[in-house]
Amino acid sequence: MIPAQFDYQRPGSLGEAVQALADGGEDAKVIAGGQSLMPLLRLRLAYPSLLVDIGDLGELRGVRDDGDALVIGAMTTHYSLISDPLIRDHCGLIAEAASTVADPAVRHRGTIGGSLAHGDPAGDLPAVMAALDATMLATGPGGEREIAAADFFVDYLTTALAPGEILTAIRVPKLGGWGYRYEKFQPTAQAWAIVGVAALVRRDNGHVAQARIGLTNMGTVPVRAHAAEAAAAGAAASREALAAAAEHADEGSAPPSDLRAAADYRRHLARVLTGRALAGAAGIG
Amino acid sequence: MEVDTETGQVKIRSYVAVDDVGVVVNPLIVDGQLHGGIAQGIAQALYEEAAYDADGNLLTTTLADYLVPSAADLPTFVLDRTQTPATTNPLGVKGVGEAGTIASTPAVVDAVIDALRPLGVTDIEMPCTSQRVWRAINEAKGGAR
Repeated sequence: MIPAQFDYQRPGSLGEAVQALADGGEDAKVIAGGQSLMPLLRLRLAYPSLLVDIGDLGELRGVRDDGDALVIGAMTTHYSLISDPLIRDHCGLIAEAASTVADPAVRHRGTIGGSLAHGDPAGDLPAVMAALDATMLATGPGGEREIAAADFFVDYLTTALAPGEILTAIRVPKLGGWGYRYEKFQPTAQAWAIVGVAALVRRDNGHVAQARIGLTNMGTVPVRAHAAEAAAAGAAASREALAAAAEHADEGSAPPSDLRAAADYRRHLARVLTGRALAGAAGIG
Repeated sequence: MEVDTETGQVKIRSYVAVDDVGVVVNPLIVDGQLHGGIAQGIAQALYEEAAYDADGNLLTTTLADYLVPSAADLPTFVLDRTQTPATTNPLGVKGVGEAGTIASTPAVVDAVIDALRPLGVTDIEMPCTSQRVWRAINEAKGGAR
């Protein structure tokens, strides 16, 4: 289908982009790689009056070292994340999850910032950011502010970004000593996850010292599986013990029922996949 | 065929097709027809479904909702053939256009059910999605979960 009519601007600096958004009002929308927004435009589920294309803002691309954290520019593509040496060395979970996003064409065009600002709980990166306790950096007319991942995802396709604010970067902690695994369950290779599980495990000899778990597509926002995290902490690093902890994975979630899966099946998948993800992150699966 | 009995996910480990299309004029085209037909038949068995809501609205209106497999979802097909020339035309050729589709749908569904026979599963409605397979396993076990 053909999108509804819109104006288009391609500013050359972040300041100009913020100004263009402010001038455009509530009906202005940022477009980055366009891999989530374009389908919505074509289906006329979204019909902004102005698109502000941030494709020329080179300062929003790439990953930089920031001490005990990495700062990832919002315009960094999935493909860049997969092959970035800093991501590989310090936060491999992001590369592992990004490599499962859609197909190669989407991964070359789609960006981390676009994926997060879109706020789709079926996307792979929101749950990863929840598990990582990432921090979103946003710039608006009032300047820059930081938003914790736990506060960033507000509702289905809704984030804490105010109209006129642009997500510029994501700060993630370096994962020294943490194992990780992203378990994605999907009907076909190019489809959205029915359920996905991002798990991080820090081991202390034969035990799990700490676990962090983010769930994809188990509610209107990415879900932290706090009950399973608590059950995994102190558990033996064995498949049986981690599968037992994973029995709590769906507690506190409100999974949707849709064409692919009823809520009870999603809950079951979350438990099974969390057990596998924890085992993988603990280096035993 | 491989079935993950915890999740219901189905995976084709290998697919072998032996066809007799009479005299083969162009082997590349014959193999291509079989590849496409097999993929289409597998798609009917495992993926494709026109789903409607209670009010009769079609739910699978885009290719994001109506699933078709890509090369990433399918195994490498192993093809072989016998050649029995047709007696009804001077070239001895037979049709090949639908040969792949005809056998692959029942072969795949039967393979899924055969893999689950030890658990007591005797039937699964097409397409054999992971959710349907999981529910069939649960029903066979007689349990709620």
